[in-house]
Amino acid sequence: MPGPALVSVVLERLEINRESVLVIRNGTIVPADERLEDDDVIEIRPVISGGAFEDRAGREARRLLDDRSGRGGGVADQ
Amino acid sequence: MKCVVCKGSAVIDVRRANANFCSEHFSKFCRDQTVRAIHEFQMAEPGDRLLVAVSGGKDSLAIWDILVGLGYEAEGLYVGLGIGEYSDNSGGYARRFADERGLKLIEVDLQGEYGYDIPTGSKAARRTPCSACGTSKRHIFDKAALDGGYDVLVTGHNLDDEAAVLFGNVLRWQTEYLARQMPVLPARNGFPKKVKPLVRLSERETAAYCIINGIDYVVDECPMSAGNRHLGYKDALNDIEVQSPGSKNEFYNGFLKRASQLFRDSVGATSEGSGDFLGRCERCGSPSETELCAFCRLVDRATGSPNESGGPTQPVTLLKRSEISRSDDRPPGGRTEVH
Repeated sequence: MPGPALVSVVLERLEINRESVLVIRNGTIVPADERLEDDDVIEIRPVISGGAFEDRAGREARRLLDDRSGRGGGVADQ
Repeated sequence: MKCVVCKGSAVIDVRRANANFCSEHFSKFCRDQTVRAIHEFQMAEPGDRLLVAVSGGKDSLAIWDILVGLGYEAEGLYVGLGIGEYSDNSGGYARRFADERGLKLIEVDLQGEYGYDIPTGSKAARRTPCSACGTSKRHIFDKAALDGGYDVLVTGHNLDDEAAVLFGNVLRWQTEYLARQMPVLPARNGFPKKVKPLVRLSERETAAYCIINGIDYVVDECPMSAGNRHLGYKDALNDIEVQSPGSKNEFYNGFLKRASQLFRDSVGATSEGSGDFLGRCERCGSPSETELCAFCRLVDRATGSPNESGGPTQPVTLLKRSEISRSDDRPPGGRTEVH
């Protein structure tokens, strides 16, 4: 991706939600208004973890989502 | 971008707080939010012995680091789940963190102690990996906390975790779950006190805390959690958050302040989920509403031992809390049930 560009702009172009990642350059976090240069190498690190959640509401909601998306009642529990 | 405190160069923007921070003051922000949660919900007292459930990920290592920094006597507990390379890596991060800081890390290996691992055990038991993992960890966490005489069991659940669970429960108006969704659960009926001191910090903030403070953590996701339904909830909430910073915090902490008591009042002490009326697992002595607790049933199915069929177990006579002591007259092996 060509620079210079603000971190926030890079994330927008990549359609990445800024709440779900950290942008790291040379081991240091860079804020959204930081300008990235053409030769900067950055890591866009996801911060969202799934974890081992387990509750009936989640199972049912997942089933609803699957139903709605036409995936045919793919219930999380086998 | 300047730090809102010292006007030095900021490294992170925290839009929900309308603030930017340098490394030093962001770390202070994280500690302050943790202290506030601990005090607000009376999670721990000075002098308490804390057991931190550690996965090797950002949240559990961050809270362990913060608690030790705040002066708490906090030791770690790592459960080896046997999930191939992921478990090897995550265990390594947990051990390195403990070793580098001279902290005590208790390790429990699922295969070694109970004869199964999550990938094969969940399949044999016909449970989803996340379900088998959750049941296993809850049992082991509870047992380790009680056997070790710890005052409090700490987990690394953060604001995003709790907001996602709340979102799921609200979608289906699961009132009993809503009544129980609190960041602190008192010790009762053979369960240890459990707390979630990171509920005022998002996972973007706990990840940033780790990077800023040189805490290496396992970045890769558990391969068995792919497709986890809560990831969808988190994405949805983050879509709202980016449009309206502070929404996740308002949603969850607003629920705690203004709504959770209403659900607790409506569900009341008659709920089975209150834990006030539980029998005991006849094998391990854990609080349970059936002959065998959920964990012992899982072990049987996962290992093909006694109750391999996994058929329904008989309900046991339920006892009032006052009739159940926390004495040592139960067989060895621990105690559990969803807390």
